[in-house]
Amino acid sequence: MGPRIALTLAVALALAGCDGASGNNGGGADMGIGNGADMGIAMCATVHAAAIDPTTGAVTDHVPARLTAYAEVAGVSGPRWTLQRTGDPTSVTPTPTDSSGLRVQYDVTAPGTWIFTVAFASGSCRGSDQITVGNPLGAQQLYRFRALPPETSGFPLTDTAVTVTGGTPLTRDLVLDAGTAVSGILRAGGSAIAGEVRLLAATGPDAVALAGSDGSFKLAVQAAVDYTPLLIPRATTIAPHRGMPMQGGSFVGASFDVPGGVAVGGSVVDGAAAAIAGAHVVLRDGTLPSGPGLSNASGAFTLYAEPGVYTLSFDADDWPQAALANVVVPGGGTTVAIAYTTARVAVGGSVVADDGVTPVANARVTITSRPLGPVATVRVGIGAAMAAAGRVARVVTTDANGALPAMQLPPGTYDLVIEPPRPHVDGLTAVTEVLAGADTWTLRLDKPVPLAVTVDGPDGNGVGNVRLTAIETVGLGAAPSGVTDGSGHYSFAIDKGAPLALLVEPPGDARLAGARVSLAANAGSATVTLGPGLLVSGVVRSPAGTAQPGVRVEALCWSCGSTTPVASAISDGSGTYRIYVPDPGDVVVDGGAGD
Amino acid sequence: MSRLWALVPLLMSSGCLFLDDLNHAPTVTIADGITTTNKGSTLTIVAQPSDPEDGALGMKVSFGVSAVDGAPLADCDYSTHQSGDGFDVTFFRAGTFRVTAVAEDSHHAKSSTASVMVTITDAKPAFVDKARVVPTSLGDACHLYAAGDVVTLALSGPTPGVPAVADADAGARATIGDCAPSETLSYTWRISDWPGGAKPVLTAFDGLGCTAPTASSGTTLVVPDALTQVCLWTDPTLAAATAMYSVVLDVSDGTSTVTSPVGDVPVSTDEPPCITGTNPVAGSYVVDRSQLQEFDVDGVVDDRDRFDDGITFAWSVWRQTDPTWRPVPSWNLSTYQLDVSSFGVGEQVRVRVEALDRTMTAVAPAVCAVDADDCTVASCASMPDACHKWKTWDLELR
Repeated sequence: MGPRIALTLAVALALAGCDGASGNNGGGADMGIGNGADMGIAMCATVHAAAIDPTTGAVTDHVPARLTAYAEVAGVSGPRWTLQRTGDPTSVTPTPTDSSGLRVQYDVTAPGTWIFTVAFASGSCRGSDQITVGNPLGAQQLYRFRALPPETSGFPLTDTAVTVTGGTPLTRDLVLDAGTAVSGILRAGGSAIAGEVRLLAATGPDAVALAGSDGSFKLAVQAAVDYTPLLIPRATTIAPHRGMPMQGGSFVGASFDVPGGVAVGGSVVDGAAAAIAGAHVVLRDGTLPSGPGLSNASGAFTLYAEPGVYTLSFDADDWPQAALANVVVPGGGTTVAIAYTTARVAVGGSVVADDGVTPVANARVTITSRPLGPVATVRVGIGAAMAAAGRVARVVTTDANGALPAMQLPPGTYDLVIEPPRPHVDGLTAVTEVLAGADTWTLRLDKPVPLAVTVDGPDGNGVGNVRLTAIETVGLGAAPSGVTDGSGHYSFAIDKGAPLALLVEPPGDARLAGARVSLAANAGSATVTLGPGLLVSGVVRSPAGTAQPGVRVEALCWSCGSTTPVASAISDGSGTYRIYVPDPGDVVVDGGAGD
Repeated sequence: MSRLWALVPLLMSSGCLFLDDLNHAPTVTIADGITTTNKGSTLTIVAQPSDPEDGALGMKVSFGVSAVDGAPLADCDYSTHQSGDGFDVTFFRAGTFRVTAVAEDSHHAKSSTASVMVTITDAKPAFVDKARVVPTSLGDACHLYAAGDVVTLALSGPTPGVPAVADADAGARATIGDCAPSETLSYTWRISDWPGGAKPVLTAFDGLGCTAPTASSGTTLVVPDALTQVCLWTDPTLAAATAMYSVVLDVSDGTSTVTSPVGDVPVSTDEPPCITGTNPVAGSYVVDRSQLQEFDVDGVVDDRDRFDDGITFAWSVWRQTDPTWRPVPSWNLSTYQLDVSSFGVGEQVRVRVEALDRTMTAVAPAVCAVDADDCTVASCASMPDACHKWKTWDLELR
């Protein structure tokens, strides 16, 4: 089959509605990027694009390909065609294939979404169509593009599966799910109650609503997705309830009644059987918590839980927090007797500045022990006492003289994070102390340390204008940020004791993928080499097709198993988003050589 | 005719005797008509010659133009066209002129001169009905501009693309030789009023953006035509809560200057940004201590800055075991993650986010109680909705 015959065939296929453009790439759904309608220019021509194999003339969906297009229009003259690949700033002029100039073609070897646009000398109207040709050797990765519309939009979060193919920029509109409206009354014992209604999605985002004192709530779910209802009353005397999974649509008109659970009574005492007041006791079975338990002056508490098997957690001032798995709460309720058994020693001290002398008032010290082993015994019902392992996790604050409060701590190894009040010349400082007996700690702050970051591109050259955010992952966190210079360099002042997650966001015109890099505390320097990025762009639309500005779009690499977005963007005033994801490259074929 | 008999003795005494009838000179008058008009407008002078002997045939009327205002009359000052007894004359300068007419019969007898005085006036430029100076930049929700904004202004009229000011005699010129137009219009934008102490300037708008001010920039700017927009650079300093800039367009034809209706540009202090959405919705939640907690702001409105460009955030955390609001240092992102795994069992934790714009102004303590979950402030940015300057999530760790 010669090229002319192939072209004729392709056009015929396009006319028949089974052309490569709409059949192979879902081009119909993707239309609208940069077309005339978006630019306020009247559309007067219907353009049909197709892709054929330049050798066989058969319709193809991958490169190399001969892209063809013709304009279905009348009463115009002087057609001017352009062909542009999504993400490329420049365009090419396809070759006319007939005297009218309404039919053109162009051979391409670069995969991606190609947009034919035609304008005319007589009349300010135009037409366009696009077609995507893939990379047959490209590796594929499945992403979920999560659109988080503003709360005011009334639309729920929407996940859209997007398959990214190596070397193939992609245009994909994200249509927000209208959701299925679910409203109801949260009740317990027939009465409306305040609380939290969580519908935990099997896939995708949860639906969450808060019910006021009248119990009423409303939320939106995706009808075909399974959700597990989790109802958490505000009242502490009513146990949270987890229901059976159902499809989202099944919640319309459903009742949201909380059975109430059973009582779990108990006590918290120290090694001398003295009551410990103010101890917190909770049960949790995966997503299902119990009601809270808080010991009174006699050390007694009562919490409410649904019958089940839980992990018990408890905590008290000046005592370690501890946990015990497989605590059974039967239908009639049970009792839990907690007795701390760990020994403690007196600890005091102070926080000083980096000069070792100047006391630092109002410094926040997070004290976390390494696992301490058994710290308490727990007797559930009439069962035998079981040892519960624990650790210390508490926060204290220095007084006006920089002194730590008097504490009782079990011997062990402690990781301390000291945060001076801001602003302060010193930074967050991490210290490890080994406590063998009574002790007085002098905790000295350190000044921030430099972190020199270099960002290179795939060619080894520095990349400028890259936004760097150093997310500190200890204490309350911190996220200093900066932008690389023309050589790809930037230097932070970083808290010395803080491990970092370094977020690297190249500018869009660099066409590189962003990165998130973990750095140890006090790393000093880091070089990040960015890989090529693939542009995924499109318009965020409402279910009715209206462009939606101000929607955050996050790209989650589903096939990487990562729940952290690899990149994010916010749709602009015309609803357009642009995200560069890492290019998966080509499939590596291992022929076994060298094995 | 009786006077002719008086000439008989004189003629006879000269030795000649005319036996034929005497030729009598024609007469001419100028018909009543308009004698006052603007430059560039054509006056038609109609002569009414009369000669009972010859009748209309053979009669010829000649017209003349002269200045009587003392100023010279140049060729470019007027143009004429005669058609029979009609005489079209167009003047291209203001003044007082005499137009004369003389009739001549076929015997070359001329009439006495008839004349008419005409007064030519200069037409002033005039703004069309509904012409007004309007800002073409968008204001905020209260239709105010923030002090320091650059506001584009245009002369608006009833028909888009058509100048809203005109001068009836602008551009009029004699068609002979290379006569220049008698006048051309000049257009000068002018800041006619501004807040005390402010130093606003005008610069050109090139169709895409505003030219940056230079040392020579001032409160006036000459532009080539009435359709050209202008940029008003308001002063970032503002003594009061609101103030007004006033801008006019002066149009001159060289003789007269007219001023457009005043266009007002109200400015106010920068409005606070308002949080329009969070995820999860700010409120009280029971959360799993073993899970990383993430909080997002998913929408902010502001009068000058955008959610994705210029808006930053201040995060702070309150803990039951450290019951004071601790700012999260340097965390200006719209998303915050908090690892609560080392927090106490059953501990109450509160996370707060406050939106900041370019002014980086936090809510004053007197405006919202430190423990308020939702701090609402006055801001045009969110009207008519309430402006949530900060939002708080209350967490119970179970």
